[in-house]
Amino acid sequence: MLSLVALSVPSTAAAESNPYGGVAVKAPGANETILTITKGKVVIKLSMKKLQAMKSSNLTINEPFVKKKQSFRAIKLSSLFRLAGIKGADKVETYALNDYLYTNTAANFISADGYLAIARSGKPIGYDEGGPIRIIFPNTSKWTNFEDPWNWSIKSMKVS
Amino acid sequence: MTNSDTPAPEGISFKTTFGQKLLAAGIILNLFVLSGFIFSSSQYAISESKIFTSAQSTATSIIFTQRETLAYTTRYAQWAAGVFTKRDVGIARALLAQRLNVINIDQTSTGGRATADYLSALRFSDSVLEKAPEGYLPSTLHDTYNKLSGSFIDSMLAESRKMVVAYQQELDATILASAKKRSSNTLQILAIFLLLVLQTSIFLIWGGLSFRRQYKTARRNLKKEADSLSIAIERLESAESEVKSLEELNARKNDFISTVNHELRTPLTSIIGYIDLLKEPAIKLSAVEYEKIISVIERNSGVLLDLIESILSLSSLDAKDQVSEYKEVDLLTIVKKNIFILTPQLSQKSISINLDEKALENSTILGNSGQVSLVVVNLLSNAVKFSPNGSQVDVRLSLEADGAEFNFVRFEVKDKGIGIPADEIPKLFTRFYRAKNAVDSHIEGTGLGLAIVAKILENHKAKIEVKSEINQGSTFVVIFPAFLGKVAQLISKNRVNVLNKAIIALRTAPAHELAPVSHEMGGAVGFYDLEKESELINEFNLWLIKNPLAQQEDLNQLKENLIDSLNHSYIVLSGQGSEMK
Repeated sequence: MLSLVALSVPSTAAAESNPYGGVAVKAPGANETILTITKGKVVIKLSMKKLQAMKSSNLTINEPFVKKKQSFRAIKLSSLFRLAGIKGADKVETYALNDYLYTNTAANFISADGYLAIARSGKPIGYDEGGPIRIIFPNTSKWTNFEDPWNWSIKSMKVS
Repeated sequence: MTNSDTPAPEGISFKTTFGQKLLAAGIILNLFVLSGFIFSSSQYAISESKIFTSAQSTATSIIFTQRETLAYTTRYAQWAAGVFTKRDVGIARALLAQRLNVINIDQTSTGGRATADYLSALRFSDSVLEKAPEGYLPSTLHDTYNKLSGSFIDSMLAESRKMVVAYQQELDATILASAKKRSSNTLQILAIFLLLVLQTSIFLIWGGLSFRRQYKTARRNLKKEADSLSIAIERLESAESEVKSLEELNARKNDFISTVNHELRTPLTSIIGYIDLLKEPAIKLSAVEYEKIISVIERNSGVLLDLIESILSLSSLDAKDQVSEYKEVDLLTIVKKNIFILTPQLSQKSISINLDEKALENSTILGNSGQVSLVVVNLLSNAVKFSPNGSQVDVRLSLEADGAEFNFVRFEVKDKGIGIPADEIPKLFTRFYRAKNAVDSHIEGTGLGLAIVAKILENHKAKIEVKSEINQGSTFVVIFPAFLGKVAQLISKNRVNVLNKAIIALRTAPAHELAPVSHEMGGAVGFYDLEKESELINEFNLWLIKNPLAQQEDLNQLKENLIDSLNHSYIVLSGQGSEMK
């Protein structure tokens, strides 16, 4: 499945390795749940395969953590919220694999034009690069320089 | 007087000295320096703001690094205990790598701040993990990996804490350095500000004093200028007045010439006319007519002569300053001489002159005898001229006292003539003016006599008064200042004081001393020409001598009567009461 992802993005993108990286970690399986969205009794479990099947866009942004221009394939958060029936007034908690938490209303996430990145430079995003999925914002967003909502290695979204 | 006599006023301006300009330049320079320091201060504020922004970002990364380190080492230990898989540990390690790779605002990565021991322990953990089997560790390997993890976990945690402490120290040092710079900058601003205050104060005080001094000088100069202007105005006014007076003089001269011309022409025309008549052979004149013509010519010639003499006298009086020629003159002698000279005219009109000189003790005046004689003869001849035939002209000479010291000789001429209209009296002394009733009555005259009199009296500081009543007569009174000799002056000056002393002495003397006191005072008062008062005191003295046993009441009555009389004299002489009433 990893090879399928690689085929779906431009292969010309240069691979960038993390100088502080350690042992290689195998990417999650294509059908392995990597994002769980919960609103009340509604629980949406999404694998990379399902995410890749959703409508996505190519974004080139100034990544605020590594201070570099990077290209991502990403899904609008509004699409994911619709999927789970999340309304604008709902408070959405976003959890990372290391349990980092950022909470805000769905309306604010949407007005900030938030995206869920699923690939970078045509390749799966490594765990040491905030992958496999992460929240990003375009350069025009109100949160482009507000780093707290840029949740890396996100694993779940939950309406409290 | 030329313009150069008026001092030119100095210029009025306010100036700054070189020192003041230098000080002002110093103030401006310091203002620039102060602006520079204030700009630096704002730059320090921006720099500190950047430091704090950077610190927030970097500190967040470091804290998260510490958190991720804890998460990784915990996961590692749990893996070694068989709780998690190797992949789970790998994910935790990847998240730590992600954090270490964060580039902060200061463009350094978080991993760049990690100590060598930290990185060494991290690499060691990687090498251990690399060699470990996939999935969960079999229980047989738990002890081995527990020991291995124990060898670096503590080190990693300790080194991650060192990262925090090191950054804290670095931040403190940065903030301290910045604070020192700011402090230094603030001190510099304060120093420059104080220097500015000092310079400005000196400038203001110096300038204030300087301007005050210059203001005073300017005021002085303005005053000088005002004074100069006043002097110039006074001179201008004086010149205007002089021009005006010259114009008046010129007008008077023209009037005079015109009048003289007229006055001379009248008798001359008559004379020439009659001479032409005499020269005409065709006209035969009888002896009576001939004699009449000759008489007219003679009379007009006399008028002409009088006129010319009068004009010459006036011209002489106008031209000369007569004061230096004044001498002691006896007015009575002059009056008597002129009465004698007028004898023919008096006889012609059967007019007698009654001379009263009883009240005259001294008739000496200071003056020019010729001019005084001219005054006397003019007034006497006028009186004779205007008096009806057979009447009497009263002439009176007397001495007048004004207060205690000044005596005047009064010369009064009173006629019983036609009189002078009241409205014409002020004009009598104008040259060539003649009263209308005199002209109407065909009484001859030049109209210059009284003008000559007025001019002479003015020169002698004498006064003339005129009283007149139509058809009743006129009285001319001339008052000359009397000339007193040194003794007479002394007597005149002291007589009032002596009289006052006599009154006081008589009033205060005890009864038994009244006789000698009255004797002494009678003599003293007599010495000062107070004859009547001396007689009164002497009479009192004689009574005292004759009545040594007189009743006290009688004595007091007589004494009071005497003092009252003396007081009365004192009031008349001095114009005031005695010092002791």
